[in-house]
Amino acid sequence: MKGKVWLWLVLVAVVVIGAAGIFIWTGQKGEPAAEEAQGPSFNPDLFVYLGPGDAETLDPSKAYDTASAEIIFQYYDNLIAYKEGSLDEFVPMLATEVPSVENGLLAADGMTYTFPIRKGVKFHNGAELTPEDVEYSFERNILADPAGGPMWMLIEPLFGVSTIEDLACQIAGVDSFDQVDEAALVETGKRVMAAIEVDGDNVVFHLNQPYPPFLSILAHNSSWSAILNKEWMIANGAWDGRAETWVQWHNLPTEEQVLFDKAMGTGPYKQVEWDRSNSRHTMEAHADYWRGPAAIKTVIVNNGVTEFNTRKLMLQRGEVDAIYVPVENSPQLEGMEGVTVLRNLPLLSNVCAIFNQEINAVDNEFVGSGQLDGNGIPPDFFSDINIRKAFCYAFDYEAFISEVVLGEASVPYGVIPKGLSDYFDPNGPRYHYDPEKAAEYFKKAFDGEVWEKGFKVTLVWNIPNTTRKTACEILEHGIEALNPKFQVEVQGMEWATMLPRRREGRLPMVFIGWLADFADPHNFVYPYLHSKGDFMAFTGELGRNFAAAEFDELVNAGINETDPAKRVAIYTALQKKSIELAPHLMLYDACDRRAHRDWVKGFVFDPIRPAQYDFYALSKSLD
Amino acid sequence: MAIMAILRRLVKNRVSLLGLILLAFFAVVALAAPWLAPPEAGHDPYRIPRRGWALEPTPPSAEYPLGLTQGQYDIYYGLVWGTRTAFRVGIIVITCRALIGIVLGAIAAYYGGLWDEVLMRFTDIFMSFPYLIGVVVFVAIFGPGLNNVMIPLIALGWMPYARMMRGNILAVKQEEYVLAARALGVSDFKIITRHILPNAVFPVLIQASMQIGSIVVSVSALSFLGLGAPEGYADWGQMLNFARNWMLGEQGNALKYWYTVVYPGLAMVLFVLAWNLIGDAFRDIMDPRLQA
Amino acid sequence: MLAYIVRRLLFLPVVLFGITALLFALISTLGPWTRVATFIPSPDAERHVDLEAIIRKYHLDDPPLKMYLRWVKNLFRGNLGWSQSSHMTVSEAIARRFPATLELTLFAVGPVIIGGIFLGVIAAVRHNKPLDHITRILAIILWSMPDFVLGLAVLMVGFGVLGWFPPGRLSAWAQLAVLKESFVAYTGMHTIDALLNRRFDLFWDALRHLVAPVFTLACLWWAFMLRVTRSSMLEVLNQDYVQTARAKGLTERMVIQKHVLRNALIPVTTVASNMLLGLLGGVVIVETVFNYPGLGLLTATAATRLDVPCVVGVALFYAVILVVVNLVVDVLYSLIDPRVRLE
Repeated sequence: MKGKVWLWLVLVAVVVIGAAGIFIWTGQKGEPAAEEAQGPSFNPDLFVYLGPGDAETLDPSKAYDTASAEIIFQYYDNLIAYKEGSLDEFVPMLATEVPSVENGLLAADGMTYTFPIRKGVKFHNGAELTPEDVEYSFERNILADPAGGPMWMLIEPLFGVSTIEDLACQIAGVDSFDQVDEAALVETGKRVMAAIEVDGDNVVFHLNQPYPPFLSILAHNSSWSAILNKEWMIANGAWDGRAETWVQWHNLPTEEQVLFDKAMGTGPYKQVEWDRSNSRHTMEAHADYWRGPAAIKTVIVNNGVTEFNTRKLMLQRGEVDAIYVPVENSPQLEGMEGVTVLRNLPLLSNVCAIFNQEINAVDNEFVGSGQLDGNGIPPDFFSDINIRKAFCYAFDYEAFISEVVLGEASVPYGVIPKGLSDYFDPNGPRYHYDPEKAAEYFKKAFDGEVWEKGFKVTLVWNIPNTTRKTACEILEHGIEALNPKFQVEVQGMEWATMLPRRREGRLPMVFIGWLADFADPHNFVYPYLHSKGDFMAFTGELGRNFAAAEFDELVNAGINETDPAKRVAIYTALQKKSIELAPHLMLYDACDRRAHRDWVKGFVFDPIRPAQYDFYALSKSLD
Repeated sequence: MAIMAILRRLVKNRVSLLGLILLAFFAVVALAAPWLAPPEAGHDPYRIPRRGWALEPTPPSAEYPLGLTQGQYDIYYGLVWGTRTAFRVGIIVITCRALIGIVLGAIAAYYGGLWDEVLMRFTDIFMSFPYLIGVVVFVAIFGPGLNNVMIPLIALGWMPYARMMRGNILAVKQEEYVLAARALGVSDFKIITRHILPNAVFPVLIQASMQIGSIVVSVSALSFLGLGAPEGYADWGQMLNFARNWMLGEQGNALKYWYTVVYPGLAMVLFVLAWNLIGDAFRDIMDPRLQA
Repeated sequence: MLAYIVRRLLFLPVVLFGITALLFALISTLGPWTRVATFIPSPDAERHVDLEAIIRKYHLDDPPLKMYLRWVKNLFRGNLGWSQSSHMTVSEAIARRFPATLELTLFAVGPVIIGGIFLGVIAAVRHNKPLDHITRILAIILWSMPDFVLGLAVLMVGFGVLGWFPPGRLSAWAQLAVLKESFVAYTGMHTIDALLNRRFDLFWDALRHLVAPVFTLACLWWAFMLRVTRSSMLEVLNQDYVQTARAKGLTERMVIQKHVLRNALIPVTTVASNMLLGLLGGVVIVETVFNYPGLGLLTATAATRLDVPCVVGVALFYAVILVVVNLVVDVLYSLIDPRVRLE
């Protein structure tokens, strides 16, 4: 028996291998194309980039993360683009002119924008761009408006509400979208279709109110304003363009949208494949691109290489052209031969710690006893401005910036980051580490009770963001050094565990960052300071009332003002007030960095572009 | 065989003597941790002190003899207190695993029949449970931290011991001398202490004790995934994980940060080595056929 | 034996039910507000999101039993659900990742088992001699290295210094070649597909990418195989019939080849099958370090993001593999060792 088994196994193996061999030798011979067999040596036609994490979707109406926007950026064009090196001047793209009051394409009241559409532009499938495509693109994205998507940015200026469901409720006069009747739905569709219209060779936008950042919201870098191909969309099962049917395509699950994993634009690159199991995007230069075909023929964006060491070695060996480098890893690229590392590129992004002015103290493990008895903090601890200022003075900004983010950051001037310094006074007041002042404010807080009794609080950071952990520890260090009765504890938490606690308002301080959607201070002051903004949502009822009393009026004034000079004055005032009243502890204004082989030419940094690289602008050469 | 006799044999064998010495060394370090590396007053002693905030490790100096790893965590301090962690995690996990295994295995083998069938299928289900998923889901439920990582390590690790225990008892039950003892009317208590304990339970315990070292390695793999001890907790696996970004050094100077990986790595290797050497020797001693 | 096989296969649904019910029970303790975190990739990405709407839409607040029944109902329709963390259906995710894992397993099994047994035999034959001690200590050192330390070291030497064994599954040019329409992906395993397409340049490229992960896995497992082989060999070497064979005057080499090895290898098969299962379940750290996305990475990402459908789907898939592989091993075992009877 024993011997037989082995015999059989060997026999089977021989037969299998033999059959496979015969199949291989007699089968069709796959010819390696000449240009393929080049191996890993220098190839000017191929660009490989290793990114940090994969896109969530390629649908412009849903994509709201940088990894998605980065890919959409390569496949689609917008009506206009930012002028190189500027954050408030624009150049034409698929429109032939940028609307302005001077050229008559922007109405004097600031509420009607007209875009003449370029002729002869080809989509990736060869179809020609028409004004109807442009109209359809915006209408489709606005009506799709999936939950958690970016479409509020267009819905707000065009209709004065933040979601399409709100608009439908407003039209129907009801409170909940479930109650909206058929007629009101059709009416909603018509309203949207009326707001964006084709007029001959032009497309006209009718705004609900003057909205100064509107052009930034349309510019190339804004994935939500990408121009789609109407005919192709409908043929592939997307919204058919009628007011009666839009609800069928509204707020679909991400994966059910036609554009979830496909792309059909006029951009410089066309999609070859999104290999989702390897997190890899392959794209090919669009031969009929209206600005002329890209210099680099093929681009591979591989977002699946999560281990930095692996990315680093691949760059070092020249197997890839560029990699994503997290701030903590940038020193490891120093002195690497053949590699260019650009650091300290100012981003429109900042990181803060939000003071929760009304902590939900029921069964709360983060506030100790929940009282001002030396073993906890009361729920309204942070509603005392002295406490907030004391915390702001107790953080060692310089040590954090030089040692933790390795100099790639700057001390904030308030809620508006340094990149938008045209809108505030760059010589204005800032916080700095000052233990004496911190002690002074702690002594004033709660009529001296805090200083006398001490307190105990837990700061929570989200795993695996150890940069924030160190920020917590620096704050802990700064505060505990002031008074032996002050106890700060630092605790890490997984995002899934943190979410319900953050939502219920249990976290005494929320560590969080904001990256600009579009280059305008409104995009910072609204989330940070407005009582309905995303960040004020973490401050409790007291915090929101405080924001409504102190900031709402100014924030609204800023967005409704069309005169640029007056806007600067408003934002300068807001910026100063955000320092004086210390609604949040602003930790740092962030910077970005790039690492690519020396042979990559033509890179220009653009603070608002979501993509690390604009592959169209690049070329590769060895000299 | 008397415990003393076993010990004597362990000491006589050079290899197991090395293991014993290593283990004794680690035990002394663990016990003397408060004196070897005095913690800062008012702080949890298991929290490694930071001597600064910078990411880049600092080489060994007179003040910090083993250097400072990423984030300026003191390597010496972390290793000393990490010894306690290593012992604690290893011993708790293994004891619990062995206990569950022995109890369930004994029940299955003793009662047999339906009990046996149900318990063994129960064991099968746990065996088919993917380890990684188990650990991550447990951590998601109970929150991260060393104590919470131990729960899934126990829950998903007792099965081999249960099977082994069951097999051992079934084998012992069949042995002629046990059958003979039963026939002679020897009391159950005597059968258990004379035959079942040494021939069924001890082998399981020995097998289990050999695994104590490797638990430390399993936990360190979890810290790679961010599931182990909280950052800054004295744990060797985490110390090694701090070295992850630095162990490849710089281009042209691959060994620049050698101390970040060598010291924690050495502690871990020696600890595992100690348990294994003793375990091997133990097994050789307990196996009468190998005494020729 | 047929009865045994049937009985074991009939038990499969019980295992599957046990595992999935256990997972659902565990996950249901989390509550909807924790589970909704899957839909928001990071704490900073929660912008303009109506979390309540997401909970309602995906029925995250249903009682656990209802969730489980719905899942079972969908399972019978062949629908394992949508994986939020990998952006595709769970079945597609598994179908795409499994070939990578299988390919790695196929290439790793040989070196690991043969190498491990070889080392174990050497150690046992030289019992308590220097060579025995050296191999054992070396093996323990390798074994006590966390996988990522060893993996990174192998990556550094094999790729960073020598440049021979790059990470990933294919080079960039090969990735493009595979995408061409003329290339047919039969199995998803690049080495085999390359052979079937008669593209030896691609085969060579895929093979080159497999060396480093296989070597790392081999180092990690050799220690284990060595220990088992060694102790099993030692046990057999002291059996009476071996002594008899020696007494008959057979050379030591003959004794080992004829009498010892085959008997000693029986317990090794159990270990080998465990190792096979470990490989098939995915090796997350090796996959991460060598950028070789297989089942391990899929599982780890899904689990850390609490992607419930994917976690349960992978667990289900793994359980099936486990039961089947164990069954095959048991049957082989009974064929090799006549003393073992399947009951």
